[in-house]
Amino acid sequence: MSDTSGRNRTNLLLASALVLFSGLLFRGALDIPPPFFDPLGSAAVPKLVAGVLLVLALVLGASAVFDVRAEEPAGPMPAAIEADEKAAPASPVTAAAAVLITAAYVGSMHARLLDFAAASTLFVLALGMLLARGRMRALLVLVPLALLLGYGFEWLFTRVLFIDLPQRSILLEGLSGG
Amino acid sequence: MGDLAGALLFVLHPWPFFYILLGTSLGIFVGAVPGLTGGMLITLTLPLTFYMDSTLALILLVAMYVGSVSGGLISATLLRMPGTPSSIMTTFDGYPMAQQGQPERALALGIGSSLVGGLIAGAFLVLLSPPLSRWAMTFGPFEYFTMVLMAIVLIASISQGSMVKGLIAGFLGIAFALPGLNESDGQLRLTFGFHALDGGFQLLPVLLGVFVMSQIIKDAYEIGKQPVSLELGTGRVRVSLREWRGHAVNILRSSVIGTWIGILPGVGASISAIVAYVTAKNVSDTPEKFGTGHAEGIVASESANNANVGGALIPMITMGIPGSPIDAILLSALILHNIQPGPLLFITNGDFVWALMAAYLVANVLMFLIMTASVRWIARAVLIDKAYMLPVIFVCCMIGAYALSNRMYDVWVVVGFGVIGFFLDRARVPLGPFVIGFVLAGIFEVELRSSMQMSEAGFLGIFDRPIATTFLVLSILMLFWPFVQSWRRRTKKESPS
Repeated sequence: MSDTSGRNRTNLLLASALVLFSGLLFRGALDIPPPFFDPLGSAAVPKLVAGVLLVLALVLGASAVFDVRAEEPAGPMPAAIEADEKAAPASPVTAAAAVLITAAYVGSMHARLLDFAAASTLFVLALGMLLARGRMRALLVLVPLALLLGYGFEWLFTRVLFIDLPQRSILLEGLSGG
Repeated sequence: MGDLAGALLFVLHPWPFFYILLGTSLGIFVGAVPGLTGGMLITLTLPLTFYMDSTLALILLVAMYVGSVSGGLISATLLRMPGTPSSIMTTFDGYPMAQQGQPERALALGIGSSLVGGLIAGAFLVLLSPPLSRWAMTFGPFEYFTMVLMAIVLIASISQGSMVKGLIAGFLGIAFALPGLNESDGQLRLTFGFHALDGGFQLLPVLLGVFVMSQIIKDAYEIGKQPVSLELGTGRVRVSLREWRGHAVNILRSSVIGTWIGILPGVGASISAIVAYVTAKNVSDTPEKFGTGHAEGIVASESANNANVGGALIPMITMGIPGSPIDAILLSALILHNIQPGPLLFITNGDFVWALMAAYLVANVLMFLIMTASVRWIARAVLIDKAYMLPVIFVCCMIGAYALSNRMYDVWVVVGFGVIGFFLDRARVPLGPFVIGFVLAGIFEVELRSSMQMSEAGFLGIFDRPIATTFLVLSILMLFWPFVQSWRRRTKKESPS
């Protein structure tokens, strides 16, 4: 796939997402009651922004369809650096896994399955090992780091700085006898 | 001058001085590590400052800002990877010079230029801020509304890449600031039945998402990118006074460019460095040497990006309009510390403003001393493994977002905006205008509605206000200028030579 077609496809996807987003914004703005003391009211700016985004999405979409180069020419970048940038290997799977691990971390605390200390310890180990690509030697650093961040931070924030951190559900504490 | 002298004496007291030292050192380190940015550091530090004195908190953040812009030159020179986007132009000549066996000279040129650029901008900051602030006091709702509009158009038009995408980013930022309780009339809007959205998206989680989480995902995406560092020799990191004299005009010109671009609302340090570099190349007797390890390139880039920091503080202090995306975070810090930004800041919090400016000047001097003394150590530390760094950063991020109001919803907002930021970045939509739009959305709407209430002629009332009309005309010109330029380029190509 050439650079140009890849760029056009990305722009088309972005334009489509923007059309949907501006539609959602406009739909939401229609539910806002009319103004009662000022000429514009609370719906005016959302409608204006939705309209501008729609126009911009259409311009972007049209430029992608008709293959008009929307980007400005790149700056005075020496060829060697430009080549390096392009040759940098991308890991979409690692990025997706990082997001999933993060979501699991936040979700486990939101559902109160784990408290901050346990969740953070597991999170640091999981994300660290993912980014270290399974290098077992990384555990030598990651294990103490995870314990320090999980249990050390919980102690520091809740006992010293008196800042609350997510706790495990009382119900679950009872079930596990904790 | 008496105010500045008093403020300088204040920041040299142990605690303020300690915070400047800490902020500058952390800023340099974070700026030097590729994948970590000043915006990230300042956003992460913001929640930690909730319990601090507001002057000390802002002093710390400004010092971080100065340090982070300067630190980028280390990795730009030794790794061929700009530690911060503002050092991209330094890479072009810093790395080749280091490859030619002169890494110490490249670093010394960068560090020295950063100091001079920062101090020149500091002089502008001190001299221009009080009169500009008095001028801004004559502004009414129309002026503020058109100025915000100009800021968004300006940052979109100067953003690297497509102007359309810059505008998309700015208006998306505004769109995400709209849900929740509207402060003008207390009307709940765009919540779609989700009660968690009643309070809208809070500033800090959005900033953490856009600046920190998206960078974490980006770093995970580019985890295969392994930098290789050039070694520093045993030579001293310094340049002779004679060589500096040869660069005097370049430094002065680039610093003024950096300061001026910094003053323009919304435009960041990377644009300053690019404009200064290109200008230096255009006026140079040896333009062909640029990109091959030429000292003039390093000097232009580094003096301009540091000058931008001082310049960008001017609209923030005097008008409450961020001069760059990082200034948008600083503006948020002011709001979170219950300090009302805007032209009245000099009257209501005069000592605070002078302390901020003094801290900026001291941070530049400290940056020079710290970098000159410890560049060898920092050069080794920049290769720190991301597998250890990124999890730590997200845990800090999580604590910051959660501590804001003890809600996991805010942590989800961080994750959500991180994903949005990552995809926008992949689609080459700049994140700077997004943040500026989000931060300025409140002013944009409140001033637009106030002006409509005040004016009997509706929107046409704008033409009764000369400053507002000027801002509007400038916005329209900036909006159409790229199209005019492109049309002129095309007609030039088509016309027979």
